[in-house]
Amino acid sequence: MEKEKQPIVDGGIDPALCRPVDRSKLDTDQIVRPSVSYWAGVWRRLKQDKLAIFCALLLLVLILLAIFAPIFSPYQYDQTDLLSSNLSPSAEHWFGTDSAGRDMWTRVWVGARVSLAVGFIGAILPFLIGMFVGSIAGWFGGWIDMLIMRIIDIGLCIPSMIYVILILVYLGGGPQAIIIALAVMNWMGPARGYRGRILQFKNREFTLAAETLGASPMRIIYRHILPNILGNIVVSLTSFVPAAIFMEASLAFIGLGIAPPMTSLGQLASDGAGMYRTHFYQFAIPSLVISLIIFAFFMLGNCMRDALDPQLRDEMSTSALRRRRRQEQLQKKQKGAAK
Amino acid sequence: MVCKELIPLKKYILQRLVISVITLWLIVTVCFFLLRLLPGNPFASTTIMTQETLDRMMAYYGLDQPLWKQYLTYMGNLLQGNFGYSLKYAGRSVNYVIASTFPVSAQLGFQALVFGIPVGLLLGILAAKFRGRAMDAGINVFVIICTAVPTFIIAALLQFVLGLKLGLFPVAQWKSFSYTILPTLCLSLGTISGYARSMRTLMLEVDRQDYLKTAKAKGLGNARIVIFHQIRNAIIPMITNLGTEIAGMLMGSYVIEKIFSIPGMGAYFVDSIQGLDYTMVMGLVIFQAVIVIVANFIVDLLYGIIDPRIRVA
Amino acid sequence: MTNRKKWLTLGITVAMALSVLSSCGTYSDGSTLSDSGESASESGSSTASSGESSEGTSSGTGDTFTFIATQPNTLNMIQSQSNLDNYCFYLTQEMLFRPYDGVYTAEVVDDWEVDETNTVYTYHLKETNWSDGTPITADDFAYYLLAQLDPNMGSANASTLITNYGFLNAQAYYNGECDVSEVGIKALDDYTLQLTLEKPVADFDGTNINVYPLDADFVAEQGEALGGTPENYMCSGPYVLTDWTYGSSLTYEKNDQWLLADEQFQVQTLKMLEASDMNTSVSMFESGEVDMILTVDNDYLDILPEDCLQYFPFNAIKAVQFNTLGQGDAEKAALLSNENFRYALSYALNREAIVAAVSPTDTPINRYMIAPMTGNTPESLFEDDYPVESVPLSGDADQAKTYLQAALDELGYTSVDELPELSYLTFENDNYRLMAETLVDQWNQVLGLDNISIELKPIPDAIQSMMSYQYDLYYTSLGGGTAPSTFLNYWITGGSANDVAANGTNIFSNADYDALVSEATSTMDRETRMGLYAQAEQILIDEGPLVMISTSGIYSAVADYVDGFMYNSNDNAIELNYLTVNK
Repeated sequence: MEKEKQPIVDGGIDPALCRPVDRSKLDTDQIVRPSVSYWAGVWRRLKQDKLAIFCALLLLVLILLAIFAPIFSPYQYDQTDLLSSNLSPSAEHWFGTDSAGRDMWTRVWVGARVSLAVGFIGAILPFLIGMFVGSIAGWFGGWIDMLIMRIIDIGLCIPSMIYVILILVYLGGGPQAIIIALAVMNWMGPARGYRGRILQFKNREFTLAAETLGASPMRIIYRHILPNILGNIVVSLTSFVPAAIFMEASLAFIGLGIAPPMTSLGQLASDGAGMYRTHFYQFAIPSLVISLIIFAFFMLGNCMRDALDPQLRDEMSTSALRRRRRQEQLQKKQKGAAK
Repeated sequence: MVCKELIPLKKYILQRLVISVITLWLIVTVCFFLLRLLPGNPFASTTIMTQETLDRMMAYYGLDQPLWKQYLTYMGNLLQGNFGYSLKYAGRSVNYVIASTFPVSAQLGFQALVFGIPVGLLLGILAAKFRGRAMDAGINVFVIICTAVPTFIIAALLQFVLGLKLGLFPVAQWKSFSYTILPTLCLSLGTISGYARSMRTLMLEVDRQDYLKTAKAKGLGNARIVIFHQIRNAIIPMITNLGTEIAGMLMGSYVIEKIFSIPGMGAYFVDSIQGLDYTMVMGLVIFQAVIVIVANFIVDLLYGIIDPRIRVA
Repeated sequence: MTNRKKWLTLGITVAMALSVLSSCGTYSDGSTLSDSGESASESGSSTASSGESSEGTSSGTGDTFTFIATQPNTLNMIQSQSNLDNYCFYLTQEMLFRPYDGVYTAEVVDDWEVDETNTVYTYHLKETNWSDGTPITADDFAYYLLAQLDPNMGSANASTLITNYGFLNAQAYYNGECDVSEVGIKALDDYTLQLTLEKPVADFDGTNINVYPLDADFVAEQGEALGGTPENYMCSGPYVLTDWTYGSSLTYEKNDQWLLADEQFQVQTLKMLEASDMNTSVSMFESGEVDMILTVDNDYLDILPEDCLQYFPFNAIKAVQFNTLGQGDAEKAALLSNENFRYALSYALNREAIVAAVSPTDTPINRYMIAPMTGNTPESLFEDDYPVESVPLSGDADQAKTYLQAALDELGYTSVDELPELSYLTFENDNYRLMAETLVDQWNQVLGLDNISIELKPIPDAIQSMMSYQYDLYYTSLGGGTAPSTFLNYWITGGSANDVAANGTNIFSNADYDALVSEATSTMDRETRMGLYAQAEQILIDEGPLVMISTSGIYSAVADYVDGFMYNSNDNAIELNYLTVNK
C-alpha cells in the first residue's frame, strides 16, 4: 500500500529501492537453474505436444493389449473349433473366428506381439548397423568407403529372398530368424543414406572446427553431426518400423512367414485378404490394427522429429507454431470483443 | 571451367567402368554359389517322381557336374550374352523372358515414378511451406493413409471401387493405356508418400541453414528462395538412393503385378527363387544388377553436378 | 552453370517423356487383328469409354470364349510334367483317341486290332496334316512316346509310361541297354502304328492312352527352344496357338484343317487369361470380361451365384504319410510304424468337420478307390461294388483314445508326454498351412498329443526332404488315376510313392499286397480283377502308412450363357468339344 504512494521519478525507478549487490557473498559460478541437457529438452518439448502424447498412449494401449489380451482370453490362439468356423464378431468371440474356428481376438493380439517385436527390433537393428557402417564409409572415405559401397552394391543387387530363405532354412522360422533376415535385408539402404548425410556435413564449418580442435572422428560424428541429422534419422526410423512390419507381412504373403502355429498381423491380414468379400472382418481387423500401429509410430516420429531438432527450438516447432497461432487468434477475438 | 571438369570426368568414367565390371562379376559369382546353398531340387514337383528320374534330369541339365565346372560353363555362356534356358519352364529362354517382360515392368515403373516423384515433392514442399496449417495436416493424413495401409489392400480396394463398381478403369490385364492407370496409381502411392515425407523434413532442415538466411537477408523474393535454394538443397540427400530406387521400380512389383494380372518381371523374381530355377534367377539378377549399376552411375554424376560440394572422388 | 542445369533438367524431362511414349508398345492385347494401328485406336476408344470397351473386347458375337486358368509351364511335350501343359496339348494336337469325360473315342485311328496274347496293338491311321499342311505320319505318334523314354531327352515321364503300359524293352531303352529299334513302339508304315507290351496290361484297353504327334526333325531343329513360344511349337489339333504372352494370356484360333473341325470345337477363338489373384478373377467374371474361371478358391464359393458354379471331382488323394523308418531313430520308427498309433491319429479326426471348415472344395474320404472310379462294369461305381471297413468319416474320439492307449502299452510308454518329438512336413502355402495347424491341434485336443511340430518348406525343398526320408509325417497328394492300379501301384514294394529313392528303401512292404496287385494288373477278367483290387485296397487301408483325409475337387464358375463346358481331371483336359457361347 505504501509503495503506491511513492512518487515516480526518473523513468519509474525509485533510487531508494535500489541497493548495491554485495559481491563478496555472491558465488558467480553457482548454477541457478539446472542446465537443460539436450535429451531433457527433447523430452520437455515432446511432453507439450498433445498429438505426441496421444500417439504414445495409443501405442501403449496397443502394446498392453498385445501383452495382456491373450493372457486373459478364455481361448488359446491355436485352439481350433471346427463347429464354430468363420463366425462374425459377437460377445463370445469379440473379433469373430477364422475358418478353423480359432478366436480372432486372441490371434490378433498374439500376432500383434510378433509384429511389434519384429517391427521394433527388425527396424532398429538394421538401422544401427547401417548407421555405423555408413558413417565409417562417409567419414573415412578412400578405400574403406570404396570397399563398403561395393559390398552394398553387390548386396543390393542380390535378391533379398535368397538370403531370407537361407536364413530361415538354417535358423528355423521363429521371430528371431525373421528379425535377422530383416537386418540382413535392410542395413544397406540406411548405410548408403547415412553415408550421404555424413558427406554432406563433413565439410561444414563446425565439423572442421571440431576436427581442428582435435576431436576424434567418432566424437565428431556423435556430438556434432548426429544431432543435426537426428530429426531425419528418427523420421526414417519411424517409417522403418512399419516397413519392417510389412516386410514381415509380405514375406508371409509369399510363404516365408513365421513358423506355425505362431502367427503375425501380417500373416493374418494376408490370409484375410483372400476373403475380404466373404468374411470382411477377418481382413479388416488385422489390417486396422496394423494401420493403427503404423499410424501411431508415424505420428510419433513426426512429433519426435520436431522435438529432437536442436536448431528448431521451441518457438519453431510445429506444436509451438500451432500454439502461437491459437493465441494470436484468441487475442484477435478478444480485441474484436473489446471493440 | 568446362575443361577442368571434363578431364577428371573422363578418367572417372573409365574408373567407374572398371569397378562396375568387377562388381558385376562379384555379384554373378556370389549369387551363383548362394543359390546352390538353397536346399531342394529344382526338378522336384508335386507329380510323383523317383530319385532316379530326378538324377537323370539333373544330368540332362548338367547340374550333376562339379560346381566349379558348372560355374565355368555358365560364365562362358554369359560372356556370349546367353543367359540359358529356364529349368522350370522348358523352352523358355531367359533372354526372351527378360525381353518380353521387362518393357512392361519398366513402363509401369516409369509411369509411377514420373507421376509419383513430382507429386510427392510438390506435396512435401506444400506441407513444409504451410507448416502447421490445414494444408499440412491434409497432406499428412494422405501420407499416413498411403503408409499405413498395405499396397495389396489399397490395390484391391481401388480395383473393386474404381474398376468394378464405378467401371472407370478396366479391372485387370494389360491391353492399353487405360489398363495401366490403376496399377500406376497404386505403385506410385508409395513413392508419393515417401517423397512427400522426406521432402517436408528436408525442406524444414534447409530452412534454417545459413545460406538461406543470407538469401533472405539479401532480399531475394520468396519464390526465388524456395526454388533456387531451399528445394535444390533439400533434394540433394534424396538423390543418394534414387539409382537403386529407379532400378527397383523398373524391375516390377510382385504384388501389383499379381493383383492386376500384368505380364511383368516381378512375379518371375519370386517364383523362380522359390522354384529354384537357377538359370532364371541368375539372368534376372544380372540384368537387375546392370540396371542398378548404370542408374547409380548416372545418379552419382548428377550428384556432382547438382551439389558442387560433393565432387566425385 | 545455371544454364547447363536447365538444359540438363530439360533433357531428363524429354528423355522421360520419350521413354514413356516409346514404351507404348508393351501392351499384350492378344488379339489377332493387326498390330500397331489397331492397338492405338483401341487405346483411344478404351480411354473414351473404358466401362463398355472392356466388355466389348471379350466376346461380342459368341465366337470367342474367354476364360481364366493357369498357364502351361512348357509346350515341350517331352519335358512336360504338368497337367497345365496337357490342357494346351489337348486343344492344339491330334490324338489317336481323344478322351471326353473319361471316354476315349477314336480320332486319328481309323480302326485297330489286338492279337490274341493281348500284347500287340496295331493301329491304322487316317491321313491328317499339321496346321501348316504337311502330313502327319505314324512316325510322329511313335516319336512322341519314344522321346519320353529316350534317356538323353531328360523326360520325367518315362517311369509312368513304363509302369502304366510296360512297352516291350522300354525299361531297357530307358536304361540305355538297347537300341530304339528294339522298343515295342513302331511305325510299320506311314499310317500304321504298332504298340507291343511286355505282358498283358489289364487296365489298358487299347484306347485309353494319350498319344499326340511330335515331329522328330522339328524337335532336333528347335533344341532347347522347343515349346517355349508359339513359334517353337507345332499344332495339329482343333486349335492353333497364335499368341502366348507369359503371365498374361494365350490365344487359340480354330483350325479348319482339323479332322473333326465340323463337328467339335465350334468356338472360333479361345482366350485363356491368367489372373493369379482370386479377387481379380472374380471381379473380371462379374464384370463380364471373362466367361469362365476354371478354379474358384474356397473363400469365393459364397460370393458367386450358385447356379454358375460347377463341381468337377479331381482325382488326387490327400493323406498324411508316415515315415515308418523314423529317420534312422529306432524309437520314432517303432512309433510311426505302430498300427494302433496310426489308427489313433486316424480315428481322432472328424474328417467331415475338418474338410467343411478348412477346405470346402474337398470331399472327406475313408478309402482310396472313390467315385468316379468304376467297378465291375463301366457303369457301376467301385465304391458301391466293394465296400470296405474303415474309419468313420466323422471320426471316433473314444475309439481313438483306446487305440492310443494300446499303442502306448505296446511301446512301453506310460503317458503321451514321453513320446518322441515328431515333425509334420508340408508346403509353404496358405491352404497346406491351415490344414497342418488344424490337424495338429485336433490331435492335441482329442489325444493330448503336443509332440508334433509343423515344418513348412518351399515345394522343391519339401519334396527333396520327403524323397530323402527326412520327415516324420508328410502331407501328401497322390494322383488317383482312372484305374485302381494307378494308386495301388504306388504302394507295392518298390512302388514310386513307396520307394521314392528307388534304392529299395520302402516305407511300406507287404507280400500279400504285392501279390494281389501284381495278379490283378494281369487279370483280364474285369470282375475278378476288381475283386483283387478291393482286397489289396483293404490291406492298404489297414496297414498302409497313410491317414487319408480328403480328395480334392474343383469348382468352376461358368457364365449362364455358356453351354457344354466340361472339365475332367482324369483326362487332364479342359474339354471344350461341345461348348457354345450364346451371348
